[in-house]
Amino acid sequence: MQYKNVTRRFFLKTAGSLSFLFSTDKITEAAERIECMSASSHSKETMLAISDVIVPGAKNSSDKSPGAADACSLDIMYDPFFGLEKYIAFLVISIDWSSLWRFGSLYKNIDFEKRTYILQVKEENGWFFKKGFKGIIILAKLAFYGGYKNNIGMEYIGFPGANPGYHDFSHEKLFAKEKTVDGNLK
Amino acid sequence: MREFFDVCIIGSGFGGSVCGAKLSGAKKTTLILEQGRRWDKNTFQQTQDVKYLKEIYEEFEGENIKVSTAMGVGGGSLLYSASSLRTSSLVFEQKDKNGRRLWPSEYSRKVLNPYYEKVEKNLNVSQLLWSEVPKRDGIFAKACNAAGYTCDRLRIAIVNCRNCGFCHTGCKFDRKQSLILNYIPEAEKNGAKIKEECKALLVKRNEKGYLVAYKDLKSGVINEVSCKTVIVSAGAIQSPALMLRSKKYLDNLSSHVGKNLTANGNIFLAAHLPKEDCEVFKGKVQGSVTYAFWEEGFVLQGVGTLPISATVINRVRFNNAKKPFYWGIEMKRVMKEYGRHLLGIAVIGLDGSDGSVFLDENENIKLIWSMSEKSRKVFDKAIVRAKEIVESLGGELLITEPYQEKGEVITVHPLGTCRMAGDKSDGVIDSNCQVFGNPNLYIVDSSAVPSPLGVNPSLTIAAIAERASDYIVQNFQP
Repeated sequence: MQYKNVTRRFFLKTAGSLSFLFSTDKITEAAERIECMSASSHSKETMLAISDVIVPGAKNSSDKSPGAADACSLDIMYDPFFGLEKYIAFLVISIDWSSLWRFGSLYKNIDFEKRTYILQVKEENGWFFKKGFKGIIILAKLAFYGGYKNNIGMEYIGFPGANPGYHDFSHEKLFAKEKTVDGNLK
Repeated sequence: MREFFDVCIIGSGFGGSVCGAKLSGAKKTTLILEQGRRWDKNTFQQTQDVKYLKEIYEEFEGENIKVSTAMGVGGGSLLYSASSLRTSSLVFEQKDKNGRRLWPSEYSRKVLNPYYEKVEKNLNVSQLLWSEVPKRDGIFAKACNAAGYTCDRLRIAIVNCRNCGFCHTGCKFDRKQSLILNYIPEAEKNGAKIKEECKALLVKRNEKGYLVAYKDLKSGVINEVSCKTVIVSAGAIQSPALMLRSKKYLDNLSSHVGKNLTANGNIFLAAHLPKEDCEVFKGKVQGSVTYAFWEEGFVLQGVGTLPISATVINRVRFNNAKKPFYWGIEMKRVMKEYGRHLLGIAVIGLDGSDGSVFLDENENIKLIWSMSEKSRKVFDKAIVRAKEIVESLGGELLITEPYQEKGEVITVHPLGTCRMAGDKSDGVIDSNCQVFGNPNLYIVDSSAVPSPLGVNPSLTIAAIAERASDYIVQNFQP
């Protein structure tokens, strides 16, 4: 086996760079990467499949951008604050039944178009589950666009979030003639 | 434990705070009860966190109407856009379907002008310069101009704005002139006592004046306050609810309590302007208004919203789309444009006061809205005009679907549920805001306003409160 001739200088430089890279990587991870709940059961896999239809992720977006699942949509659906958790089992049974009846397969196993179709049906004509599916839709959007756990969705739509203010907020031009003298109607 | 005060004020928004400052300034011992907690620049958050928003906003969802108000010491001023406009003189002349004047004859713009001036001075209201108008609202003005219409800079109660875009979650920089910076400190300096997180349950009339029962929401304990004068200022939803709960303890309360709820002609639209740089999230949340359609009964204002309200609450569709969408690929495609090319348009108009507030058998608050022909006409015209404006810049109008589908309104300006009137057959309170048949019981807040205003109502509510306070001080019976 041939070994590269490693000089002391090369060793220190490389080791130093690597440890720096690893340390910054860890810092970055700690600061930005928030672990989402994993889809560890049939219910969770199904909920994840539903949320991917509501805000599609890279696989189903033409721009390959992240979606609700990347924004921890499962976490929000199981957050007791929002009160959906206790209905999830019923909602999963309901959507699986619809999926089996129409396409002969469980919801999580059908393709994106079929999933979209089924969710539309459940949302519009879901009998007493209608409200539950509306709730799922709102929560998945909230996870992504509302920045429930991370900023992935907010970055996607260009929302900067908390900030100290801006200097470049105005076009500084007179754009239209005005009707009033002082801004008040007479 | 019972306490004694000259005056007990229920609520601390634009009605209650103004009355609190004035009455305590006139050496009346004053208690202000407020259901919400105290907020300040250190506790306001620039966030979309639902848990925070649920604490500072109070939402009411009724049949075909959604109402959003603020909760905390300072009421609506905590979250308002700070647009501070005087109401047009034409509004005070509005008549009902029977041809009777909606406002008591004592009211006109001329009568209110000196009170407007006082409030404007206290809230540091001034008209924006074009260099202070956010890009979003500049583009709205540009669109109005392209369609051949005027557009005015708004009058705003903000001093040296930092333009962070978070007016709707509370100003962390104390630049927006919420009541916690002026009337409330004045009231406390004058000796007024504010009890936050205390919800008024009942107002009872007795031989000495009134008893107000309230619940301390922190401890759960129910207390009573005895007072000569009660001022109900809990807003257009909570005030009628309190009056209805108290009905059997008061004298001949008008049957108008809870009725005539107006949404102040609020519906929300959005414009997709692919060729314009709107920078939606920067700057004050409002900056310009077109009065070009005032003769048609409405104004249109550019408005900035947090993504959460645009994506979660509103169900929108492109004007020409066959089906609405508010989730899926289409929604995501539109939302990608949000930060730069979507701007909100608020309709404020003279609707038909088609709503009402009532209590169910368990005393829960219920709301209902039945869209009248008058309202529908105003909203439909507003949509046509907004479309015209947006298309003049090559854009596309997005309409909130609940309005289109079932005539649902979403309002941040509920008014009129304990309206003032010339006599009891037309309203709940007289022109001095005193409840008919119940001397020294006043209702001074958005519920007192007898008609839609067609502009943002905070300045008018405060001006009415200034006027009513003068009357209450002058006619105070020791």
